[in-house]
Amino acid sequence: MPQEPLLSVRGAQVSFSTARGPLRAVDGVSFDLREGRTLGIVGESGSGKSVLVRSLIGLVGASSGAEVAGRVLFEGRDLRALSPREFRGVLGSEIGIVFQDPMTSLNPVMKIGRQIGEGLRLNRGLDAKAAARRAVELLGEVGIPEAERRAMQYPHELSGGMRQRVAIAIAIACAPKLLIADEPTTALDVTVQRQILDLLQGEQRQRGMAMILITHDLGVAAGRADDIMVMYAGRAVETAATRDIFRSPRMPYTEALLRSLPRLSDPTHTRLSAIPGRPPDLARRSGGCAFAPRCLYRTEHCDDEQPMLTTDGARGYTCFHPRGVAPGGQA
Amino acid sequence: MSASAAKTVVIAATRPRRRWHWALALPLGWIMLVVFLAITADWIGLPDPSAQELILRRQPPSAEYLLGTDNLGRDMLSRVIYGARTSLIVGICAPFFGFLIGGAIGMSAGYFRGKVDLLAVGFIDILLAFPSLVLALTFTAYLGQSLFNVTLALGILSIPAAARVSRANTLAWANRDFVLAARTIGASNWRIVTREILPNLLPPMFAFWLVAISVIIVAEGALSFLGLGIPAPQPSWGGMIADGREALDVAPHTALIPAAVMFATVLSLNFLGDMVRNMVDPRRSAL
Amino acid sequence: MPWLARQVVRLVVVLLCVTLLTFFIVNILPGDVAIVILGTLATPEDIAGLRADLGLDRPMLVRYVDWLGSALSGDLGRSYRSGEPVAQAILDRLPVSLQLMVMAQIIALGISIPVALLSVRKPGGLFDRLSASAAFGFLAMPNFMLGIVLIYLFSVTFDLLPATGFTPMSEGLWDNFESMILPSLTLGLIEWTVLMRVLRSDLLTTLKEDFILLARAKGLPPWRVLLQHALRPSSFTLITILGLNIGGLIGGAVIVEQIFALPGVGRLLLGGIFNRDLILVQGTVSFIAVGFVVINFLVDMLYAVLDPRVRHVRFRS
Repeated sequence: MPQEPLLSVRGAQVSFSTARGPLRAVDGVSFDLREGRTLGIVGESGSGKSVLVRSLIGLVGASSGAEVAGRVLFEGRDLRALSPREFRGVLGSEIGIVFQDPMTSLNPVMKIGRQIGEGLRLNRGLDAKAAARRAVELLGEVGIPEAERRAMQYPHELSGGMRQRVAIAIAIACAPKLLIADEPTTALDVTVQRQILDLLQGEQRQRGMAMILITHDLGVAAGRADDIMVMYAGRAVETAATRDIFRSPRMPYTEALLRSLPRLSDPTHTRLSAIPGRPPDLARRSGGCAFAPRCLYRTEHCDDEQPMLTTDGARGYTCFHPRGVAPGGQA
Repeated sequence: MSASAAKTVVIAATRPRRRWHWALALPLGWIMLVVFLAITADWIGLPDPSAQELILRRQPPSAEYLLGTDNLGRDMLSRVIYGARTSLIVGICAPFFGFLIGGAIGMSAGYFRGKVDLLAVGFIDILLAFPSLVLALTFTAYLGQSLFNVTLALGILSIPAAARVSRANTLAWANRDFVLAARTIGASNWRIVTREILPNLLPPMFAFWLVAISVIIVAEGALSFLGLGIPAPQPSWGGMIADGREALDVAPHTALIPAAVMFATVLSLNFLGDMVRNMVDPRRSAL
Repeated sequence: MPWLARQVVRLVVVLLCVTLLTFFIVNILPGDVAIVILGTLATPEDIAGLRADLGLDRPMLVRYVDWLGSALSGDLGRSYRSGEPVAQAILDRLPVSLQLMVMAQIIALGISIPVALLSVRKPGGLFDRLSASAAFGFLAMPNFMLGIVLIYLFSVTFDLLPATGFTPMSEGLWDNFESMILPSLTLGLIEWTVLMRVLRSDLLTTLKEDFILLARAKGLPPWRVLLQHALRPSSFTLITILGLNIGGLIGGAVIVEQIFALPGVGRLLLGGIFNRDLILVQGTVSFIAVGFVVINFLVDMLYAVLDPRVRHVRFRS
């Protein structure tokens, strides 16, 4: 590795206590993210991808009834060891986040300009005037026309796509080193999804930010992420460079996800294959591979034992029967 | 909100709550005691609650007068127990009356909709436009003070609430499949309302009635406290507190004892009402 | 019709009905007012004369229209007992009642908002459970009882505050304030419970919103998240309840004015009722009801100011 990763996560765990016992939403996930790179985290809803990322930046934690474990290093600093005050400093000035639904992620009763300027005043020490001016500039940068007027409006006066642009302006206001986009286009009209993704990618390149792009849609991650981490039932089941994932997935789950993507090269009326079955109940884990019940290649071994992470160069997967690898080639 | 975050919320909400079953015994026991004494007051050897013993005015509690005597030398224990009878009669009957009328209004509004609904809602709005105590005062002042009139006035006050509860529930039930089914086989409106809708209306109305009892007991207390409720010699907690107020410096027990009894009763009723309401309608338990 | 115009029309209709109902209650209920006023020993001629004086021999609707006409011009008639113009009597006593209710409301908000904010910092924690229990207890305390208990504690036992009586502001701000503390505490200590419960429950809902997460992600300290982001969007139900509870507050004020001998509108009304002063009662009850309706109307309008969304979409509840 030429440089120390910007974000390094080791053995991240999040569990909630429920009436039916502990529920492990995230179970031992590790990854690294270097400066300026984009990591796509892909998984079905409930796979733990959002909870994972939110727990890293303290938005899921003791206050929401969750137990969080593991090490999180940001620029070499252990985030979990910081005082709440120091942690808020890092969060506010070094990390920006964009949520799924701009309808709910913007404060409905606060003017847009103020919502953007708020972080600037707090973390960059700008006075009210300077923050307001910078907010207008930022609105312009994220492609909102008549920024001056818009800054004085409330979120409900904007369209969904515009709102998400505002949310992006908030996220990049303090020039963070890491941008987290949590399903940033899921709640938007199909027509504006692409624009928002382009905007995110453009801002990221221009500012040299690292980005974590969380999505349930492999297709969204395809053109935008350098690396992809596939999550299933709270575990990272496959990690690899985006190109490798698409060219030769190792994990049967990844393969199934790919098969469920529509392709332009397919003849029309090709039936998309859905993954049979449903994601497992996290409160009732079996001893074996969580994907086994839905897997085409499952053997008895899969039901009995949890596959450990197998590393193969820069990629890793958790499967006893990886695809694209000669049988017996791997222990 | 993404699905995983939504899940966190659900999990947080379903975290098991500690249930305090033993705590239920206390309010339930108190209410049963009050009801028992109020019913048997005539037969347990209590002195006449109106018998004055002017030499023995404002006696503190003692072996002979367990709760002392009031400004006119009347036995406080006896008055508190007969006062309980007054409170319970008004507290139980007034909401019952209000619920009969309000329930009928609400059910017709919710069932027939349209103009009937508009009229009913308008009527309720008008009644609600008066601060309730002011309306009660005006009613009793002009009806004349008696146990019956106080009950009637407070019953009228509980019409709007009863009408709202029954209207909302009727609206919800009137479109259910079994009601539509009854309609298609040609059942009369009367039959549908009484056989299909009314039985479903009773549980929420009952829960609400429990809450209304404590509200009405307080309202009766307020009227009597102002001297516009139960007429004088007949004991009532509100009236007793008003009487005791004059001697607060020399004989505080004359006001504080009926106050404490009333507090315990209302607190217990609220507690039980909350429990029942949570059972009937878990959605409301948050408030 | 635009929303505002519809609301105004509705307001006018309700006001007409309310005054009509007042008129109806006071005039139709059993007991001939003339007999009530003159006593049962009066001669039939006296009664007939008084009825004519009061205009009672005319149809009720005609009398209502008459009454409404003069009421609109500010004339609510004269008290039968004192000869004082009713409108003037009400206006003289209104400041006391208003001061009482405003102070009570300030006390209630002053307790409920901080308590709700502190309880949601750790739902189910010690403070949350203690404050919930306290609220439950105060809720079971009728105001006439609480008034007596407060007098007993602060006036009789510790002799800190006057038990009864009112000092007008003109005779010293502090003395006036002192004479109003116990009365407004009596009202406020009961009112806060409802407000606190409503605000707490709305805050808990708001705190689950994404924009709260975003505010935290901006690095805002917890108290700023609560005050600047959570409080305002959580206060809509609070304001509704504030409006609805004004009815309870008015009723409470009648009782509290009686307990503490404050010369307010409530005591005027009670005096009127005890004296069978028909015109005074009619004027006071109408005034109170109209005031109540108008305040509720204004509270509805306040939404539009507080929640910019209402100006566009009709509000959720």
